[in-house]
Amino acid sequence: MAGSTTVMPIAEIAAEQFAEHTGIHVLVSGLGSSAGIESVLNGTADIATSSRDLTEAEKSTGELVTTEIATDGIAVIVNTQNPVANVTMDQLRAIYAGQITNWKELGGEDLPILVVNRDEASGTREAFKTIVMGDTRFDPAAAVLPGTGQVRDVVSRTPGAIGYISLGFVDSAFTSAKVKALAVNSVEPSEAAVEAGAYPVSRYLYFFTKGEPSGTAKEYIALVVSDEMAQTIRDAGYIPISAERKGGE
Amino acid sequence: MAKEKKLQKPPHLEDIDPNTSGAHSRQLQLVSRSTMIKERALEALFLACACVAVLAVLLIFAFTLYKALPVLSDIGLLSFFGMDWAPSSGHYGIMALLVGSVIVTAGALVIGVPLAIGCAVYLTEIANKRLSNIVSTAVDLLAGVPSVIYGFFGLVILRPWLADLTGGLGFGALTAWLVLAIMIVPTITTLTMDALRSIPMGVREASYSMGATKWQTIYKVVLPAAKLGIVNAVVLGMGRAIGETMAVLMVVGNAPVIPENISSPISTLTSQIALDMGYSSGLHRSALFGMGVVLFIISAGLVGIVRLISRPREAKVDTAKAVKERAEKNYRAKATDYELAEDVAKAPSNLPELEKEQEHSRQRIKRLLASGAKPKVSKNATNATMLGVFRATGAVTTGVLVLIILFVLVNGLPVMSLDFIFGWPQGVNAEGGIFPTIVSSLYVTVLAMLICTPIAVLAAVYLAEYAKQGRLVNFIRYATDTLASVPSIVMGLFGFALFVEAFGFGLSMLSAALALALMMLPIVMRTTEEAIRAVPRYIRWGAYGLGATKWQVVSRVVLPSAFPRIATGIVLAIGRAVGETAVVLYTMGQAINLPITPMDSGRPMTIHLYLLANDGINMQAAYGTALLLMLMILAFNLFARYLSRKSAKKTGGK
Repeated sequence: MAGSTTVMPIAEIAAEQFAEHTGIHVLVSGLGSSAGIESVLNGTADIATSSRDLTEAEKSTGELVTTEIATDGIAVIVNTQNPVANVTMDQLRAIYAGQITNWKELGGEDLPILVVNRDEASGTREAFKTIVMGDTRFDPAAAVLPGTGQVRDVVSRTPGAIGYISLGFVDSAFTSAKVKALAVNSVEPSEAAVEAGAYPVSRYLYFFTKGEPSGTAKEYIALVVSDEMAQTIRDAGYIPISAERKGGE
Repeated sequence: MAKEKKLQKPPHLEDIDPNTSGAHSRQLQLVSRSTMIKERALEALFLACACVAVLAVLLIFAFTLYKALPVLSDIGLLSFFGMDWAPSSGHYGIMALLVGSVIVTAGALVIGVPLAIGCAVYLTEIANKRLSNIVSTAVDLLAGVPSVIYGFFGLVILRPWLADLTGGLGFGALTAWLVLAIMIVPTITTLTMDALRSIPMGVREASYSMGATKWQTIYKVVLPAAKLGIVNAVVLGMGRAIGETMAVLMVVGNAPVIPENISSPISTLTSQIALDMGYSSGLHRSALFGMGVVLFIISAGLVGIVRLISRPREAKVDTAKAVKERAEKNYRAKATDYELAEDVAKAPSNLPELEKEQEHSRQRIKRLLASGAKPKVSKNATNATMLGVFRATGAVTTGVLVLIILFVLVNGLPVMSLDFIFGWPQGVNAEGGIFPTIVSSLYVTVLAMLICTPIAVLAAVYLAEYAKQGRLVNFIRYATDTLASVPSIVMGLFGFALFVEAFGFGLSMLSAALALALMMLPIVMRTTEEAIRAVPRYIRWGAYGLGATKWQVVSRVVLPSAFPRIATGIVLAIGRAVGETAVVLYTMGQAINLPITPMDSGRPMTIHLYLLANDGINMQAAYGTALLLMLMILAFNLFARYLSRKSAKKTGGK
């Protein structure tokens, strides 16, 4: 299986457990969501892991079957000293497009906004782009950092910085670096808000297979969405699919 | 790198090689026909090995260019060198990235070159021998520290510090300048020291005897005399800076724009390739290969410049030409003397250059004395000040290098445990051990060594024992130099396109090992050739005298006596391979896996460190990995030094 680096940690641990249960080794490569989907289409991989839904072009092949495995809220984070507590989706878009450049325009201090973006391989960026930016282009002068931890670390140290990371990583056991998650459209980011669908910057994580999953692939997917994996998914910063949704799938 | 320079042999030395003279082919006719066929076949095999480097360079260029064609034909050369880099919206202009590479390299040189030259002068001319030995060993070892560790240092220590200082994010040209300057200082220092040491002591003594101070001697005599060697060192340092990938990637902030100021994010050709390669497709991927072609042309151009500089030039003045001829005559006379044969083999091979330089500085001193310039400030005061400046550069360089070692050591030691070394990564954030990554690193390195060594050694045998000097050999040398200078990310691109995709080896140990073998090839070839040439001629003559064929001489006499030095070269190359990141990033895969067969993928320690540092979540494991990686590489390099010391003692004792 190949695909999203966002889903890779979940997929890897599931692969370990799967090997323990069945003795079958599943090879996981983190290439990015798009590359993963391409691998499944051309037969190099059996399962694509993805942090975004299929594009129209990918849907039009008619071959890919979707399984939701978790939800992920994206938190917009700023430095703890920043008095700003809420942004609207429009403001957020303008910040990342480079149109709003000072915190005072959002009612904060007179401080330049230092925008931290993710790399294009990142599923989080892809989701942020789809949910927040739409057709608006990211400001190319924004710093591009290739990791969640880095974004949080940089924002925690820099008063004027703004970044976005998976909700589950806002508080992490690994570091003392503290950041503040902004409310978006006045909805505080929380697991409950994401699950209820109230928090606007959220997305699903997916597995895609060519045709209905069968054999080993089917068993593996069953393990990933099982209750056994729920805690691992939480450790990875995501929210497991709730029972009702699983039923509906 | 230090070794590489010494290896360059001026053409005049080849002329006197008895093996290439006509006498030898007559000698062959004395042996049986089958022996003769065997000898010829072996020679052809060696030539084929020597051509591997040429083939590799041509293939890298051709294949990378081929992969770049779609984007060039689609958007045209003009748009390809345009300003707008936005692959997701179909803009593939690389100008901002090219400018970024130039800015980053230029700044690193401005900071690094004075430090390196100052440090080299301090170590060769001023410091006492004991201190100089210790520091230059340290500098040597630091030239082997993998770039991902320098990047890690820049990311964790320099970036926050510069962020506080500038009020920005701390990513940008300034941070990259400092990191790259630190990285190129060991390279330039070592090469400059070689250049300074090759200046005969007599030149300095002459200067002192005329009442010049140490500073005057350094500034007016030693540095001008070593000018070519120093320019050479700087150009090679520049090549290293412009081709550097991982360290830059970790600290520039990756914004593909012309930066507003030195503390705002920027991107370079190499870092953008490494960042985008994993997920790019179609024209975007083709554009990355196009960037690879640009990098290849830049580095091949730099190699060309170095070769032009270090080639003994056609003298403009008649007297200089005469000096050269005299030197050559002397040299021939010496070379036929058995007693001196060993000295000749060991002596620096750029002898005619030296003689020329010597003449040059003598004239210079005469002229200076004649002009009778009277300094305004007392020459002793200037001397004291300038020596102080050199001491300071020496101290700064050493200080920074010690800081990096301490940084890795202090943070890494608490993480060290048997569980860490022999355990498996656990959980989503790779807690636990790093055993599979250690195995992957060693596995791929051993495999690369097995692929590279036979080819490299036989190619070196050809160049040192069989080749007739001429265009072909020159071309092979140029190709080898170019291969050595190919930026590692370009090698990675090539490896991905050829081994992973075209040959269908997939992301595997084998693909990564093949790419690494190409990277190691020039290193092992050069050290082996040097080793073979260092074997005294009279030993060969003795063997020929007993009726041995050429192959018997090479296999029974030359190679065994050159073995310790060949081993040194191999061990050094292994050190490079273990620390390599960009080459293996997209040839081995990144999955944590314990490789069994060569077709398995894995994640070497360097990539593990890079990914951990980027994620920025489990920094403990990152420090631990960095420490283990550095210890392994230091161990390889120390072992190589031990081997070369041992062989030096052996030959010295005879």
